[in-house]
Amino acid sequence: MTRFAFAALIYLLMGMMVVLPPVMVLAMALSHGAGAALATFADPDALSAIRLTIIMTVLTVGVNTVFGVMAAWTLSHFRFPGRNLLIVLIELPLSVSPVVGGLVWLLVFGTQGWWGTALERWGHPIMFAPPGILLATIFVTFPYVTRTLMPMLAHNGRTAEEAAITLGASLWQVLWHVTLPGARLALVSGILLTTARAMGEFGAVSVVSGHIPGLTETMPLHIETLYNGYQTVAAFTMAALLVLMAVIVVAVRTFLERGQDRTEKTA
Amino acid sequence: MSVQLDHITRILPQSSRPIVDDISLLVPDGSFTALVGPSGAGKTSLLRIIAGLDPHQGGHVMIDGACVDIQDARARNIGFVFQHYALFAHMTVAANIGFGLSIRPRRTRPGKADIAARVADLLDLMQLPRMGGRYPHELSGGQRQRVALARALATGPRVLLLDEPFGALDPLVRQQIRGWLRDLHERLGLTTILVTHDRQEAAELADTVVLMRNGRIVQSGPARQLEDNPADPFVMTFTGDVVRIAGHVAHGMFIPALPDIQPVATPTADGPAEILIRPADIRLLPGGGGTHAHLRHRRGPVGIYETTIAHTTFAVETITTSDSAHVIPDCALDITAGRLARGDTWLERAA
Amino acid sequence: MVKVQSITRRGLLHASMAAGTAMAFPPLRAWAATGLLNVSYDPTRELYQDIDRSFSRQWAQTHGNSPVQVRTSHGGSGAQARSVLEGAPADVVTLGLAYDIDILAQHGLLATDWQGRLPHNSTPFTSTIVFLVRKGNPKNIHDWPDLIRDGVQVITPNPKTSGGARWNYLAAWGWALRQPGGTADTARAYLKALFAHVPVLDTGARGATNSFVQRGLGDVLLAWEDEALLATRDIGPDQFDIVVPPITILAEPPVAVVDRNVQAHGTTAVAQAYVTYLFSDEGQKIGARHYFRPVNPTILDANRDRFPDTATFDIASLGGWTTVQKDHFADGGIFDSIYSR
Repeated sequence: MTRFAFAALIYLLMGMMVVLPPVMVLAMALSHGAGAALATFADPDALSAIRLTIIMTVLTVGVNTVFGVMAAWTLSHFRFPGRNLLIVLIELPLSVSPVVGGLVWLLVFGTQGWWGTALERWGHPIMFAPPGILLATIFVTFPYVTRTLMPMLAHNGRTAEEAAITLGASLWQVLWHVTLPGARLALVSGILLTTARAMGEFGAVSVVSGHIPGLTETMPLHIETLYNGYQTVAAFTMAALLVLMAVIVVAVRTFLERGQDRTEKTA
Repeated sequence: MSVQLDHITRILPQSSRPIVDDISLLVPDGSFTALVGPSGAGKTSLLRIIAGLDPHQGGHVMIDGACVDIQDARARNIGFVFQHYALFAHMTVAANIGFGLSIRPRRTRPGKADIAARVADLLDLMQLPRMGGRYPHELSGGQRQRVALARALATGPRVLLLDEPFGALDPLVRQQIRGWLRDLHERLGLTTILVTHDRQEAAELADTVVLMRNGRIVQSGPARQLEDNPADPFVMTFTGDVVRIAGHVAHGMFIPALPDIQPVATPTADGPAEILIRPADIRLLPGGGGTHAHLRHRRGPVGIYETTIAHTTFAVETITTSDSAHVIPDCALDITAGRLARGDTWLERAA
Repeated sequence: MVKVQSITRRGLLHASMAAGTAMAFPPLRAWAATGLLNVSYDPTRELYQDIDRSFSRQWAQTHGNSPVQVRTSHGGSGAQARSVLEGAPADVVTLGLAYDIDILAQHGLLATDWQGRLPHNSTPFTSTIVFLVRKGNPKNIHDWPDLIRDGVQVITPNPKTSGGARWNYLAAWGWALRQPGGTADTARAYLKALFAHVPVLDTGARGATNSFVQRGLGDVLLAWEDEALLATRDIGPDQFDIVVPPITILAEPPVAVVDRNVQAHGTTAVAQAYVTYLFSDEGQKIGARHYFRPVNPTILDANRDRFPDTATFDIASLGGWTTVQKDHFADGGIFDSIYSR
């Protein structure tokens, strides 16, 4: 009986903590009818926020996948001085507040920062512009690919890679055909975590964005702006869209994991 | 292709003792050589150095007379079979076997049909028909090892290196694959080096057995030669069953510490010593002493007598007939056929 | 038959790189030529939405071949000033208090005499600080002393980050000083008692309004008059009452063109036109519509019914922003001393 009691408790908690909030978001979005909710997307600022979020997410995922794979591969294959320090550093963004992540970039690239005057002369702004948002998003999502990939690479070991080398594979071929496919479940997991986090990042982006509607507002920032502007329906419609995007990411991940279960057992 | 090792040394970064210590060895073209020895002897390290997977600090590796020290592992074209198969879990058996061909640069890559034909041939050769579409985890251990072997052979390697390839298999399968590998070697004539810790496996498969210990070659030659003329007590112990009888040398005679064992003449200086002898070489001298030997069991013409001297039981192999006695009373052991040793070296025996 | 399986995300990656470089940068360049950025403070969202639209329309009539799109960003006044200082490309700043613009001037973003470049000390609209209470005024709050009665919860944002909050604070301070026997010590005691009644410190005026209006926190919100009127008339009709205290501060949120940025963007003319427009009859009328007190006396008179009469004192009577900032809001100032214990 305790089994069912525990199960019921978990269901209740999950329902209250995880299921209910998105449902309420959706309910709020539709509180004035679907028409009012859809009208949200007639606003060019909203479309711009959606577009910016997608671009930033795609770029972040691209950059962090490349860097994450490089870092995970290097760290799991080689022993070198400072390796443990590097592992700690890679995890740093997980423990540091995202606001700090944003402020750090301001310190470097803001006009009062180290390279501020040089950048100003160059004429291409980094802070309060999409490049700054990209940097901030990359910073907060940096650890995910590395952290999910490293244990998998360690678990897989090196012999499959060595086998590929003796068969004539180059370093790149080993990585592409053996190492990454062998750890693709972890890689996909890391990429999707990065995607979800990049789409939803608020704190770090908020610091470097400047909150310029239509230009530097991502979806989370635009939701805040809408909410503060008493545009409740629009705010919750955008929020519902963001929730939907996150649900899609999770669903893709689950689907891929199920599809790959077959071949994932070690030979 | 021949493989020649010229004073190879490898020292691990945080270690004082070399794991491979000044090894020179010639593996002739088309031969089957086994590297044997206890674990930690440096067998696998040596194999990995030949393959180019591990670096070496001193000496040269030559394949077919040409030095390959500066060649990457990928350029050496050496087939390598790992103990735990190291198959690509996410690829089908056919993709595993065809991997080495399909990743070649476009210029030298065979066509898809050619690769497929080569894979099909190898599957036949390995007696794995219709397995091409399976994934490694769907195969048994023996099948996986054959896939690994087929994968190593697919690129037409110059040399085949096998690192404890049967270690993870159960004894019955191991026995089957062993015979089959020997056949394969005879058919292909590919220079092969096998690493194993199993002397019987080495003796059964290889023309030449190289016995290693502590990073050095202790003795090499045909298995029979190592067995019959072991270079030192270690070789003798490793290559077959050995009975060790402790004692000391005094006045030109080796006196066993146990009673009822006959002394052996030796010109060696006085001091502690021992005799190492194969069980089959011990003889019973009826009436020569005070111990009784009991016939324990018979295997064909060979009978095993056991006798206990001062809490030590000796098994003695002799040719018996159906009317041989079950108990031989008042006998002694004759160990004249044994080898006299002090420490790690043989002592001179009386001519 | 033999196929080496590889990662299928290759295509996605390549596409993303191409899309990224193509899409992330053009809007920025395009905007530099045709856009104008007004960095403003919190409660002006509705005001500048209207002004921006109206100004763009008027600009298009006179400059048909080069239309302008005005964007306005909002946040706590101090935080917004900080963004501009760090490089946010503001052409115009319309902040909650002059001190925040002074900081920009100190760092060379605009001339230090900026406040004299436009009429009325560069303040197109004024406002006051009033009390917003629940409908029917259940806690019977009418004047500053009522705020520190037992059981009254006061909502006001953090003066460290919010311009509006500083006005709230200084309104209370100024009132306390003007009481019979009022000194800095009695004023400090009053403010200490007042902040003991504050359950949450939001970072901006709009956050505080949301706490009070949407989350139902507190009994009285200290607010800009415009924010309070917006809340009663547009957002929660029949839920709130406005209480105007007998004496309060005259809040003067100023505007300025950010010289260095407009030179870089080539937007000097349009930025100048924009701030001038705020003082025009049309701009003044839009301000009145959004419950900001126009500085143009004629238009203020025409809207008398929207703006209740009350006695006011201004920031100069408290010594001016520089002094006030140093004494009250700097680290270790009076606010720190009354709030930390």
